[in-house]
Amino acid sequence: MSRTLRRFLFLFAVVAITIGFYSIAFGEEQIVEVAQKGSTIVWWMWPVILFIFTFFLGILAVVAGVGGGVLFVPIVSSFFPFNLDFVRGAGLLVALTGALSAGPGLLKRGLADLRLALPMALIASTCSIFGAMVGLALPTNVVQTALGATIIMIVIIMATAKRSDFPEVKEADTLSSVLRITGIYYEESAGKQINWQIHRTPLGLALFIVIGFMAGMFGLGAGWANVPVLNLLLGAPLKISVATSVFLLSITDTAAAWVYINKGAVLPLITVPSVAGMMLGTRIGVRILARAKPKAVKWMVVTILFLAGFRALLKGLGIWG
Amino acid sequence: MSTKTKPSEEQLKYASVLQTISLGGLALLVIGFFVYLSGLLPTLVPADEIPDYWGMRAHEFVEKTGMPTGWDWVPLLNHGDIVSFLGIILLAAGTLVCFAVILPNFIRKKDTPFAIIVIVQILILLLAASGFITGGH
Repeated sequence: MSRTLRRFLFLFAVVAITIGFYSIAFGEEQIVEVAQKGSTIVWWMWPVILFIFTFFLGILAVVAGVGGGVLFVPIVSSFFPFNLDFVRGAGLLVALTGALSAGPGLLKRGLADLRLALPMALIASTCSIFGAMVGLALPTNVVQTALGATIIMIVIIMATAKRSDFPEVKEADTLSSVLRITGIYYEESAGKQINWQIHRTPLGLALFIVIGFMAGMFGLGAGWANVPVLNLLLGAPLKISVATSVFLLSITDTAAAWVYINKGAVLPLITVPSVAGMMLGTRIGVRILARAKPKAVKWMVVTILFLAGFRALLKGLGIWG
Repeated sequence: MSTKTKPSEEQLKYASVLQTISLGGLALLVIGFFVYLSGLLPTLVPADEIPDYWGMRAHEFVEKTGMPTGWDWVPLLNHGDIVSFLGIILLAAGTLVCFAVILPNFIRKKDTPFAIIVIVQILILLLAASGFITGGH
């Protein structure tokens, strides 16, 4: 049996078990009218559809090298009947669980760096709390409009930002020297150890105020912003930047997640299928990555993200609700 | 990897604790969810009624259903919908535990700047988890 066939059978089994469980648990329930969409669908199909949807989103996210959290919120808030509060709460948990799962391995391999992450995380997590508070206080249409505008900005950053494998840092700045933010890692592709240090630390810390606030307000993962700041501005090597960004997310999103949890904005019926689907999809995505054409997939994902952002913007403005 | 590139003791400790907690959190998340859906325990809001509320804002949902906010869920742990929250709580608490575990390392090494950063970070996360700051409505 080919590996592809085995994967499809595995997916089919997972979906069948999920649908089977829901139908056993709620088989006698009547079909309900989903007012927001004007369509008729058995209610428990929504979490099942969400699970399947996030499964494929997880695959796409890995292959395209885009964080799952940033895809989840704009797309799910645009096309599912859930309030944006619950979508953002679930989005934070999706990004958080992804970061928590990857974080330990990255830390153990020395790719994510604790000393680089902690000062940035302190700023970002504090600001993410304020972002979450503001996001839950503002009217939904205002948050939706701002989300749409932010997503379009993220698409522009993704499409234009360059990355540098080993940025040149001639001299570490005073703050990073005092904090001893420096390191060595083994670069397998080059077969040698790479020494790294950073510069422009105060400016980087200032940018994490904005990054943290936006992560909390919109429930997005912040890899799209973390990586350019760590890599291009501070001058950390690309691998260190990507890995440290993932680890950073686990701290930033934790702080914001508590605000959503305490406000009752986390619904297990939305969150658990999303987290399970995304994690399963991510694992399959890692296997597919070796044979996929990441560049083509990345442009496809960027296009989907742009459309979701545009839809969120129009929805927020009341033009396409 | 040579010993020269080996991560610091506190980094490895953080990674080990995080790994244990995140695995436990994910397992609890799945188990709690199936307990919720299976109807083994009574629920505050039955799963099949949630679709009546998931289009509402969070504060409206809480007002209409009487679902607990902050830490008011603790005495209600005999309910399926509250049990389904336990995995989420453990995942959210993981980072806090990791910081508490590595703090003694920084203190022992007299790494004052990072000891202060970790202490402030713990306080920030405790404040967020406390439920005192919720904002919104």
